[in-house]
Amino acid sequence: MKDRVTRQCVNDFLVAFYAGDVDRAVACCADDVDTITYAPIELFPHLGHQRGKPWVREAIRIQQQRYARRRAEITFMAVEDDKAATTIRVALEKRSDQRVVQFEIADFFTLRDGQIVTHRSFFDSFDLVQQVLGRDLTDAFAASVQDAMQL
Amino acid sequence: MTEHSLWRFSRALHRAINERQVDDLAAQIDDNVEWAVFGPIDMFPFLGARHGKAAVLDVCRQIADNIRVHRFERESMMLGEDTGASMMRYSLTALDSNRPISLRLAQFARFSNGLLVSMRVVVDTFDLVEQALGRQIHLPKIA
Repeated sequence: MKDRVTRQCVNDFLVAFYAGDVDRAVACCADDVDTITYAPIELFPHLGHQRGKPWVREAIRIQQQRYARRRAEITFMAVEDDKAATTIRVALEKRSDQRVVQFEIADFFTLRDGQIVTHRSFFDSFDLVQQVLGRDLTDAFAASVQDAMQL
Repeated sequence: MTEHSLWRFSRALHRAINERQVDDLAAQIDDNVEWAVFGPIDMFPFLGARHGKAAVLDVCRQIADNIRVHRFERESMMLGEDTGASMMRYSLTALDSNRPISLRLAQFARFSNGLLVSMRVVVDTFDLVEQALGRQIHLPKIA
């Protein structure tokens, strides 16, 4: 029973978030929702560590401001009681140059009383930085990394 | 109560990496396993996609040749019927350079008849690259 509620809430949140439905997404979250997305905040100021429902509104606003079209597909969901983990394949069309950035996000949720109370998220952030900047950083750093690691 | 496949797989994977013993791991992987670790393969050749048991065992040997796991902590774990997901924090050392690396990653596994059929791993790769470089990468600010 709890699994079903958790699955429904997380699914509703993700669908609403990427559809830009602020009210529905906010309704899925507890007042004291605590979220961390591990990503460089110079490029993604709405990510990092945030608390409270206003984060949801702000995150959606920034995504809508930067990206003309947003598509997301849940590719994996594991649920256990009041916890859920998902992978989502996301495609965002940048307003600045109409390029589409694509990446896979890992999200972990914990619910309390049927609402999301903690959210942890990360992705292949190096790749996304390259896509957002529209620049290949691999050449600049590959040799240095391999030297440093002695790979 | 039977132990979930993810626990068995997890133990075998750590044994494969730290002790270079892949027999247990081989016994828990389906012949047609799909394996993907998202990340820059030009920097870390053991990342990327692999198909089939032999390729996965091979890449696990490659990982074992390059890193040692010192400590790991499961920050979150979910066990479904034939699925499992965990968010892990690892303390590693790059073997040749002795460089310490602290890594957060998510594993998403699917099992069939107790065997791993799919594994997808998501890593905070920007942080990984900065640690491997030993310095920050300066990025332009976007408001």
